[in-house]
Amino acid sequence: MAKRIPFRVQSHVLKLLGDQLIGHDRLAVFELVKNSYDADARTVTVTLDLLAPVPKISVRDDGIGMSADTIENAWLQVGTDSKRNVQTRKRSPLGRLPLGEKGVGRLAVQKLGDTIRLVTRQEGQPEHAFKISWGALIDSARYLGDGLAVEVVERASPEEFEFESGTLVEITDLHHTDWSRREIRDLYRLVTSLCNPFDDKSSFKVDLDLPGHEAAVADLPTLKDMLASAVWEFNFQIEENGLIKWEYRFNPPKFKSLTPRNQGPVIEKLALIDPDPDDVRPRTNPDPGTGMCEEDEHIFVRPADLEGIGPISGSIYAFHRRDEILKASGAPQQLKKWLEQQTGVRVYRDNIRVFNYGEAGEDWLGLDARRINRPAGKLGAQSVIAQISLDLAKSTDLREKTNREGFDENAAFRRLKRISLSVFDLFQRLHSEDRSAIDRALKGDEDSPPVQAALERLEALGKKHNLVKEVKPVIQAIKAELKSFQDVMVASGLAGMNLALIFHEIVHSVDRIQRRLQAGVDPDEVRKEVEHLRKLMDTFKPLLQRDPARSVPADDLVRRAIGFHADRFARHEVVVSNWTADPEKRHDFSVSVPRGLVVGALSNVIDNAIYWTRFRRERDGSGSAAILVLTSWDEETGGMIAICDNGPGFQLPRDFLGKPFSSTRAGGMGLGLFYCKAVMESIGGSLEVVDASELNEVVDLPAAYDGTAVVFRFQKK
Amino acid sequence: MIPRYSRVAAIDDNEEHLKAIAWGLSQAGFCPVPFHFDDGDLLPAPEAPITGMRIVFTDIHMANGNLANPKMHAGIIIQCLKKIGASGPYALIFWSRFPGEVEQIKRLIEADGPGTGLTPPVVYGSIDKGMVLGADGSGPFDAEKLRKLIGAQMEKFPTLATAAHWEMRAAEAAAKTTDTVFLLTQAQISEQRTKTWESLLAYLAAEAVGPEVAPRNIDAALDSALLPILEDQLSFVGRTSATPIPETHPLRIALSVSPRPQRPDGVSFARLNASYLIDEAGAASPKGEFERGMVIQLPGSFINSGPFIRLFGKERSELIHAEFLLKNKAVTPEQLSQLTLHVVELGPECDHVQGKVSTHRYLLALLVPSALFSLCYSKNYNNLSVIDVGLMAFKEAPQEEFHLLVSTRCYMTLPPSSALGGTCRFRLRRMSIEEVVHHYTTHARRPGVMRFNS
Repeated sequence: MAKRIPFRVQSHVLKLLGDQLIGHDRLAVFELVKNSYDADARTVTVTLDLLAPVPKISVRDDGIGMSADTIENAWLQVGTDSKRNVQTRKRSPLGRLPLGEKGVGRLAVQKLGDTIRLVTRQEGQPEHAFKISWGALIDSARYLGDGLAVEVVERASPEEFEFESGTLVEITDLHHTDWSRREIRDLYRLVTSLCNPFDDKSSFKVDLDLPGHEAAVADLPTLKDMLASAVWEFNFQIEENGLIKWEYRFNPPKFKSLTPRNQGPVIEKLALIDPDPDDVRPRTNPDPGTGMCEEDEHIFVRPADLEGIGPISGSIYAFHRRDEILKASGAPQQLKKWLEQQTGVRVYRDNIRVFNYGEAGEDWLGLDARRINRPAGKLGAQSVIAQISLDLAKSTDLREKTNREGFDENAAFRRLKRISLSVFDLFQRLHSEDRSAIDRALKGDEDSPPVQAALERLEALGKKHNLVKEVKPVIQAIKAELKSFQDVMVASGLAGMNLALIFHEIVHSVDRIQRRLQAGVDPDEVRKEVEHLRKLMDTFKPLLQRDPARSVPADDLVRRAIGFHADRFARHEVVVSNWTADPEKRHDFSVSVPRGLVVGALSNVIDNAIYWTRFRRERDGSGSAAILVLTSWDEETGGMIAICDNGPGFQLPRDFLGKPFSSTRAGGMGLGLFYCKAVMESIGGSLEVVDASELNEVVDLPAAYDGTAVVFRFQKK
Repeated sequence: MIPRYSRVAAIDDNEEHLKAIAWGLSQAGFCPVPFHFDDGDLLPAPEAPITGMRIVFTDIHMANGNLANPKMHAGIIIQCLKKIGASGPYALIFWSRFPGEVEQIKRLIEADGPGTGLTPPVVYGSIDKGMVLGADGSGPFDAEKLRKLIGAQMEKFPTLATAAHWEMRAAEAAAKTTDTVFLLTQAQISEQRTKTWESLLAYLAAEAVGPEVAPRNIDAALDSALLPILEDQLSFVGRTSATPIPETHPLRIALSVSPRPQRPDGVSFARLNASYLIDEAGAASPKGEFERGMVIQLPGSFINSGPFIRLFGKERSELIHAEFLLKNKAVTPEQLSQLTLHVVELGPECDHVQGKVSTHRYLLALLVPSALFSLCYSKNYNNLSVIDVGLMAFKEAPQEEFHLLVSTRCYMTLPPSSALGGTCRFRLRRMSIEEVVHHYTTHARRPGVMRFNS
């Protein structure tokens, strides 16, 4: 026997929805502001009036207002499809697409207070008003549909909107009326960021009125004030064809000999960084030939990457947080502190903020984590105020979560993250030279913190944060390593090598670990930092604690180094010619070297060559990627191994070769060539980077190799 | 747990670390097979891929100079695994100072490995070197801790352990075979024991394949000699197992599904048959067309040639119609072109073993796409002269399914060393050959009885 039983929803669900819809009560204001945007308002005034006889929060706009019909069929209908419906979803007279789509946002105002009064008027129409006491409304009927009703008053003589149209939402019976100065400042920060402050042309403006509490925000710098103190500015637009147009500005303060530098506008293909390993998913449709998924393998942004995302534009303002620079920039005293609240990467869609990107602690691009592994940029989330702008009509695959905690983490969002990070990577590569100039200018003012003292502080902090197990062994290892580094450098006469820069990075890394421990961050972050430090030391350890030299034929060195990448050549369709294995073209000679070091160095250069030949092939959309490895012997000077490619050519000034953490490769750490140079110098040889054509003086090089040649020269013994 | 005394490979570029893991493995009760990654070469270099290596320990960063290049390091591990011969199910256990890298390297092996021909590991594990060698890898070696960590890892792969136990039992069957034969020698004097044993093995080898053939391939001769005992021992594999399998074991859970465990979606009947009934790798047998049970696609130059007509008496189309196709079905030329003629080598087993085949006998066969199978004779039509070996699909195109039909009344013979020049496609496995032989002999012995019915 079957029986149909009604499926009922208790009215209390309205309260639950309101409570759980958003993570933070201040975001309820945002929901109301979005409604004002959808109503074509130009100005919205948010008022927090805590000194009124009945404390209240109100949101008043000058939009088109609502008719009785809209109140009944949209505002008073939870989950209405009035904005979601494809047929009715069209642009407003001001050209806006509706932001709301789920029809539940207004329930969030319950987070702020128990009573809401709404007054609205359309041009030339009577004014309508109603009041809801959420508790009383919910108590009036056990189930939804059992007669929940709101009394809507129609006033022929308007009381609130005498001459104009608009809507006023007033919340009373506030859940708390004792707002602290910090909470008021947070509200100010939120309200002033709701519409895109980077876009002067925006037709939408949100003001905050704080009767009686104006002093709480009076000393706060405006965004404009802050941006004026930024040392770097980077603006970009990525069109749907995948091309990026960017402009870079370095605006250093008047400090020592720092000089401004502008670059651009440049239009080019945007090189992608490798996908975040945490975002790589099992490849469902790999290429049957290669087993690879094209999504992860291409070098530049393609139009397909922007499908469902649309064009992306934005700006990055980066700060140097050292007091000397901020001061020289004319920044207000409190700027550094205020920056901590304002920094981050915000997302705007049709100039309206998408939460909670860019909020404090929401490092959605993982800039801090990348900073650990890619110290070249040295820009963490706390050093930038940035915005990324999207087009609502074209970013259809980016769907906001109902709880306003960002977009659904789908494939489109992962692509947006990767593209955005690639833009940051481009900016960081552009700025690294100027960054170094600032560091050089500052250097006279401060020595690097002594390693020993830094390690001791670190050890104490590790103990305090119960990370002794992770931190202590590493500190002991670092101490031992540093000592052995120094001993070996002195003993082997390698002190002239530029390894001081590596020490510098080690000290920086130790510093960062300390700061993280002090800030009480996630121990995982500290572990990552520790791991970076260990990897850095392990990279250079073999250089100083090297294996004894042995006589190795040059072709054997090449064979081994090529072998490291054997599978990658086929996968990336890179043609490798190894003349050292060709009896007619090889020049046999042996060198006495620590084999592992030289093989590692050759392998680094081959790895670079694979990337850059693919880079050029994909950038130009034609040609094939080719690498040639050859040897040559000269009775006077000795032997050389050269790795030639048909990539775009070496793009850094030649003197950057001896400088670690400089790279033009997207996502590059900038250690490869530095390591190679250090290896060659440590064995009495040298490393040169030249145009491949320059090798024609020595060998008859096929014209196809018109990129870079990296030449390893070995001392004749 | 992975059975004690299993072979376990270990790879490291640091010789001290390699010694440590090898020592730890031996202390944990396993047989370590260490490989030193020496700037690109594995030492000692495996002469050939090692079959049945179910556990491999590997360091992550084995190349100097760039620890922040995970793709290169993953590529090196993939190359090492291919050299060692990791195929089938195996566990890869990272043995590294950088446990934070494990997930990334694992993802890269999964992503990049299959494209290079690597069978990716079935499971992964990891041991932090720092826990036993100190944070910088040169601290005092805590062997006891490593033994425990290895033991804990070996507990993590119950299904792999079950497979390894089966392999161990199969190996025990071979060992028992050796024991059985050896125990026949009763020599009292130690110097004579080996000699007697050698004499016995030589005798058995010669008896198995003949005194002329045995010296040519002693291993093969001994295989044949010991096979009868081994087959018997293998038939008892598992019956004497006393190891209780716990209730929580994944296989026990999988077996508890009611009414019975389901075949996994990705494993078709055709692929199952291709594994059980035939041996695709057998096509590479050095004996080629002369291997017993070899299924050979007839070369185009042979079909409809003079010798073809002389041997089968008909042209291709007519032959296929007469031997394999139902009379009442219309067949289009395009359909006919999709049917490929093969032959199956079916010499006497004894002659094959002893290398005495005087004439190779080949039964005519037809490989039929399953979509056209309804056009053909099969046992459903009570046609005893055609055997359907089964539905099968080949590794390189698992979606395309075929039936192999073998005619028991249409065959040809060729003298040894007179090859057709056809393409060896696969080999029928022993039981499949037995089935064909059974049908063939039954059909050949079919008496022509005159019987009258009312």
